Amino acid sequence: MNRVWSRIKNWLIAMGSPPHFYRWATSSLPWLAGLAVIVFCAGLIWGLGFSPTDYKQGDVYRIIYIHVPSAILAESIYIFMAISGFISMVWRAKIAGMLINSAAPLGAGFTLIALLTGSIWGKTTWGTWWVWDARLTSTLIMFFLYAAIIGLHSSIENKTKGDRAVSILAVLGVVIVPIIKKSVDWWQTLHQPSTFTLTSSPSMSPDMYLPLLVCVLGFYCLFIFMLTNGLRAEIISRERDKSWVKKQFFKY
Amino acid sequence: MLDSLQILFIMDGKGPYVWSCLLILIIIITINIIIPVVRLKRIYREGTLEE
Repeated sequence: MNRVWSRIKNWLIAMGSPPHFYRWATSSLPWLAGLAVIVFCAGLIWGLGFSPTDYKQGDVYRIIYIHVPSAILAESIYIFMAISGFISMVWRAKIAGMLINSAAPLGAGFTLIALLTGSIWGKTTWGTWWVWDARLTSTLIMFFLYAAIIGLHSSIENKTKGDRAVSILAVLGVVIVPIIKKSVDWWQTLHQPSTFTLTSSPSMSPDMYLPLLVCVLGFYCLFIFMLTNGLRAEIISRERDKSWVKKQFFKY
Repeated sequence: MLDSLQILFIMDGKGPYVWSCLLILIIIITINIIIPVVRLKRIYREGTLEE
């Protein structure tokens, strides 16, 4: 067990080095892309095409297969960024700052998908595109936090200082995640309670729940692929003057 | 076959809502995949030109 742990630790330490990570990412990217496409498409085809129709909402409930995985991922990416921010502040790992910069646009994208699809779903079930409901408003605040992280980093010329600034914002801003999660319990809202909880069994039928689980897994696979893809560009962009980039990337 | 595809597409009148959500998802994901690829290509081009 100790040997396995020590191997994992060594692998993680090695991954902290941008050249090592870049080489790993380049060789893994086609596999990650293949896995992401298979699981993502399987979940969406199963959910949108083959899951049973809901007796109350009809077919419009199928938006759940896009909306819920996007919302889960939006929150998960923020937690991931906060952990990276903590690592960046404590251990000054260069790769952690790059991870925040590569993950922020993805988090903003998935938050936007959750907001837009939620709005479309709300129009058909609540009769309105938007209400200043606790869940919706707190998710909108998270979108602004993502936008602030992207804007803050691009406005600071010195990338090390930029990393430090966005790390602080990512760590402080993570407080929004439990607020979003608990908003449906703490306040009276139009939004339904959480679909996934660790303490109780799902209220949905397995025919509807299983494709949703595959969709969530597919979205996570897609995120890992997109993050790896984005991180490669971030590494090369920052290390373009380093000899290993010139040798490997520009071939001179 | 065509009938079942039509049923899937229309979804009792709710199809446009569901498919527009899928379209939003595809557009945002595609943008997020393409941007780093374009960025890498630009860096590569600039690096080659510098040389």
